[in-house]
Amino acid sequence: MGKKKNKKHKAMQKTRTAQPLERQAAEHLAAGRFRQAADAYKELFKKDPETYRSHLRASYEGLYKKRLQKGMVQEAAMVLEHIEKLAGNRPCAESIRLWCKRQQFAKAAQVAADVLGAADALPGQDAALAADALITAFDEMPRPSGLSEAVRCDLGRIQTALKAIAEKSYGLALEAIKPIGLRSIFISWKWLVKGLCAFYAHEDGKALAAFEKIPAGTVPGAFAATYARLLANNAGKEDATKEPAALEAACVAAGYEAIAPAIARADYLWKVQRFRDSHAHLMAALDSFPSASTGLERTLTQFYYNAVFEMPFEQAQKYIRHLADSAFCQKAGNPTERTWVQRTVALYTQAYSQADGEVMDRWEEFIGLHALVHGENPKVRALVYQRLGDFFATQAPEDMASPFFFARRRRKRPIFRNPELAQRFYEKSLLANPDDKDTQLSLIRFYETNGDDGKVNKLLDRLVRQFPGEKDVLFKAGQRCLERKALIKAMGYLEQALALDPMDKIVREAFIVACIKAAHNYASRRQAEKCRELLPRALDASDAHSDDFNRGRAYLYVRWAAFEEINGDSGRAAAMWAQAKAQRPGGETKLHYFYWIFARHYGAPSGSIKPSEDLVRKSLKAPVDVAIAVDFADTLLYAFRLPESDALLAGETKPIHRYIARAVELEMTRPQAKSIMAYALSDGCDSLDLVVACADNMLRCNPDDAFFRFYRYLAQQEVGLALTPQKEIKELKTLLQLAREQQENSVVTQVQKRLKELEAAGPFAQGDRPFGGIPDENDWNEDDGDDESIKALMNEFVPPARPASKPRHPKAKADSKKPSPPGPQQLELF
Amino acid sequence: MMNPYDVLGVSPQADDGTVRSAYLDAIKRFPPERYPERFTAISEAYQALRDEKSRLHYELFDMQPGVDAPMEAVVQHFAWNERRTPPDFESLKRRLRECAGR
Repeated sequence: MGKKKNKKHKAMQKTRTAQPLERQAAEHLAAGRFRQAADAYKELFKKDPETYRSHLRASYEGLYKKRLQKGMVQEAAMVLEHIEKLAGNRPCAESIRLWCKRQQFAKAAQVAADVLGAADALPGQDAALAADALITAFDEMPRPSGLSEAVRCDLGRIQTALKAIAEKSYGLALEAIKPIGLRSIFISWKWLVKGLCAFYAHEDGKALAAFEKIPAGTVPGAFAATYARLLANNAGKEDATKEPAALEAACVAAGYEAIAPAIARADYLWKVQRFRDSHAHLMAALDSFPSASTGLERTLTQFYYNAVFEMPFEQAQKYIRHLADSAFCQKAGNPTERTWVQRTVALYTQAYSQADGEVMDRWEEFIGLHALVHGENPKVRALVYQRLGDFFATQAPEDMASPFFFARRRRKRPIFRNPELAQRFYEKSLLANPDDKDTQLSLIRFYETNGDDGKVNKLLDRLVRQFPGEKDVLFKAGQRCLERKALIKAMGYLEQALALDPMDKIVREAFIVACIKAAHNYASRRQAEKCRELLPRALDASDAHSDDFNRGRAYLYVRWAAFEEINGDSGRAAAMWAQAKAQRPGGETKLHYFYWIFARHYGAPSGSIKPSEDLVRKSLKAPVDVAIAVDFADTLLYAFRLPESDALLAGETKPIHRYIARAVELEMTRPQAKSIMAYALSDGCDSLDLVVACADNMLRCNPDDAFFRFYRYLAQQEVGLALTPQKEIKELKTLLQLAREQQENSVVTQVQKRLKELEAAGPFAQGDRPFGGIPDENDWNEDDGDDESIKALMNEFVPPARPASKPRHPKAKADSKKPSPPGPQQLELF
Repeated sequence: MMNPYDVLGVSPQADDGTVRSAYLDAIKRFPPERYPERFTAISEAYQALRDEKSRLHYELFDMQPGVDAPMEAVVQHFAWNERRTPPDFESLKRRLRECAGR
């Protein structure tokens, strides 16, 4: 049966005509099926050797390379014999690959020399192969016979340059390769030398440019690829499961040859989420891991012992248990490892544990261990206790049922995590290091928040005596005196702080505020001269041509004018007005509106206020001007901070508000819209319709404006026209991306928080609404122009309950521990 | 943040003066207009190490792994490391031959 089939097959083959066979052969060759192509072309070659010689050779060469790639060296050698036979038994460049594969570099070089000697001009690929073989033979084949003088010279130049690189003589290396021309067969090697010299000289751009010129598939190409990968800074992000060898090579290129296999393996284990195995592997492979010193081991230590704070909860639990077992289960444990682990455990407990006792115990254990390993250091003890003080003084987050500004309720008294422990640890910290200024400032802040005024004053007095030349302390003392209305004392402290750092805007502002308050006091008591003595000092600290209500010189002159009116000196008041106008040319309406409000607040005679009032009323009757609307919004926003703002502004804000609302319909710039938005969001305005109108105005020009899109989203949420959770998540993700692109950091923070809440809300957040939910047809209610309907909706809909937020990320917690410099909003002028 | 000791090229035992001179040297070599990222990293590193208290604070409470995987640590460390050392000639030869034999 078999014989019959074979006979039939042979008969069929014979009947095949050359044309379809040629087509088939070409198809096989094109598709990389070299064995089938070689079979077909062999048959064709028998009929017409001249036509099909090159095709057959191409098929053999393909097959040869394929076999070499697969490591089938013997099989490749057999194919090579066919290739050489086809070439008339002349030296064949392809055989260089085989000799290299067999690690016989001298033979490869001799073949290269023969190939170069036999032909006047070689195809580019063969020339490159020959060049690679000549170089990689190094001193095993110092003088291959049959080479032209030019080739011999260039070969010597490259080898000299490579030796010079290894000896860090980059100048010499570059000098050596200079004569190598673009047509040289060693041109790729020239680029490699150039790239390596630039690489080791930290000229990364030059190095990358040189490496990019080297063709792939050559020895210098493969060698340069690792360096190029390192410079492109993506080696660490590659999938280790796909390219472990490449990672190891990158490690070697980076100069970590000795530890390259260990790191490549640890990386692989980490990327397949075998975190504990990865750590254990590195522990076993590297003697100097973990390390408290510098270098790569230290960077790896930092990574392995801090990675737990980025892991999902369950994996973090297992990982931290593994770290503790590794450090403490052996009798002769590594002290460095134990300190790192104890530190990680303490930080982790602090971040996630609800038990105050546990947090205290872990840190006390850390202090004990640290003292054992590094010796007793009171500063370490003081720092840890200060951290514990800050931790127990953490305030519970405010109850914010709504993420929006409406219906927000603030607690009158702060709720600390544990005030007794906070105080105890601050005191312990000061006992360990009585000279620690920051701990004392933290304790002052704690007392302040807790309302212990007596303790604040006592501690602050001591602090000022202890640190008379510290800006922070003087500023704090000045602020405290301001709050206590000890204005002259406040000015003294703040002036000293300002002398230490004249560029500090916050200190300058506080000093100006103290001056204004004191000057107002003198003016109210008709002590005109004393009032006049103070204000020039404030002017010295103020900013010329600034629109800042506290620091701006124009507003300082306006205030001075009010004080002169109180003093009964209208002439001086007029002079101050002239100065104020000179400081703010073309923008008098804002100055007059400011004066109208603040002159009444200061108690200036009504006759002096009337002209300003008339000017503002006239502006309100005139056609709407966006710039003036923004001026009104800014001034009102500032005036809302007055304690008696309700009484002072009663009945006056409505026309101003209507004016601003009309302006929002007009074309305006983004900064103008942001000013109006700030006004609309303020507690004093509290206008949802203005928020929506302002956002819509901006979104008409740019629908992707993250800031305005976010507030429009919040406004829609607030009126109860919420999206389905799935759509909300989608919208928030879009917002997050836009906000990141536009660097709207406050929006990024708020969107991230909301996304976390939604993700923590579980199945409801995934779209399951057991009670149907609010209809979400068309996603948003586009008809947002009707104020009354929005207000009605606001009254009808209770804002949707927010899911309980997850515990804050430890990073955020850590950040919140840092004392932030007091912002301008903390300066209270009134 | 990258390991600040490596960014400034100082040891954990370095005193305030050494840290400051390393910082001044680094910002001179990497001015912000030419190396904005590196300049930011140098400034951050200096903030972390500027005095004994800052250094202790960093040693005790820093919680940033800095990278996402061990290999990334190598790459980052390499990118910031001031000392790039070429392999010796034998190692260079071996690695070139490995490429030739692939």
